[in-house]
Amino acid sequence: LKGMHPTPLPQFPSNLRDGEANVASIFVQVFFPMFDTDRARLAAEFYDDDSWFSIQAIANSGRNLPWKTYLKYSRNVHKLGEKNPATVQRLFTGGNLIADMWKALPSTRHPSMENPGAWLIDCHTFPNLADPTGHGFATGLLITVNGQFEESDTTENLYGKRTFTRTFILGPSKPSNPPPVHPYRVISDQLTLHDWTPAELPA
Amino acid sequence: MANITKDEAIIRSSGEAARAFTDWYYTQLTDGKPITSAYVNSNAKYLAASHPPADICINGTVVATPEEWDALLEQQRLIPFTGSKGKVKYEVEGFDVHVINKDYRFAAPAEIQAATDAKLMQRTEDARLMMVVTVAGSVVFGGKEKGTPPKQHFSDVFVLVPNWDFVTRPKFKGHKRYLVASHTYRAY
Repeated sequence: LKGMHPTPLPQFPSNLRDGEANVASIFVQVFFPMFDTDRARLAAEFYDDDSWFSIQAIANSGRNLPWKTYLKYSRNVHKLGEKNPATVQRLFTGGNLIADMWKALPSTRHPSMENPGAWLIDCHTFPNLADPTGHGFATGLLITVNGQFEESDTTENLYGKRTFTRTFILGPSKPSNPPPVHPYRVISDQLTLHDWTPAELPA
Repeated sequence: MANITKDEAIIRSSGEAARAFTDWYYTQLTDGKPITSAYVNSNAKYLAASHPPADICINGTVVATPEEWDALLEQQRLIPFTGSKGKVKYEVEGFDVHVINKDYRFAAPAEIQAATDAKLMQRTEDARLMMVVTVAGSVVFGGKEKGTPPKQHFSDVFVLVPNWDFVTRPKFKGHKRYLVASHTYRAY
């Protein structure tokens, strides 16, 4: 029946336009292994008092994976409604709160970055963030990651593979941030979790 | 979980803005209507201030203009076998939104850039936001044709910036209150 329906657009590999310093490539290579092994250190290194984090669960079809742990944190504004106080409560601001919340999430194992076929990463720089020194504008970096991780939820004794989208906004660090100082920080981190499995992630 | 540093009014405004935008945008896509007016490219104030064209990346390819994205959507609706146009239905299943600059002023009217009028700044607080929106949903390719229509899941990320044409109309809640400065699309 090929050709009997409208046709999905062609798919291309990761599109990395993160400038000469390759900040995005280096960041994701550090981020995902550390998210799997040492979330507290990750939060301390890259997040500060003004960082925002939230997860949204897109749970609507299969029930092949546990959702309980995620649903109580899910900030799916579309489902909750923008006037729901949960949209404020489920927004985690500041590295300490984010680190605490990450402790409650199932442990994860992301695929190796050596396997580019397992990842779709698109990124580019953009203008007009606030400059952290309080003067003028700063350049930001938007990174969108689509992929899968293995998950184990010990509270439910369940294991599985989860499809996810993770959106990062990086911007220059504040001069006042304590060491270890990276030249950039995570301003926004949005984790979207799906309960479907793609037929294949395009290489 | 409560955190006193959170600005609840701004969080509420960002949710309303993301809702107005996504409601309109995906209805336009499903109805086969253009979405070009949603991008900064065609806005006179952003043009006058030399804002770069919206950064649009579709399934890993950079698209130069919103019109080109429109043409890709048109191509996507084509049924190869018959050469006629079918329906491509976009359904939103979730979105999340974060404010990434609470005091965006690029291309703003002079009195806002100068920021001397405290009342004006307070009154425009929920209109000066730069936001990132992550949308998740499904795309169904056709329906009336023979056989089960193919289905994909999509993930869209938008950076929205204020549309200064509406900054002095605080009650205006339409989709054009904010414009797209960046758009990353993936469907698979």
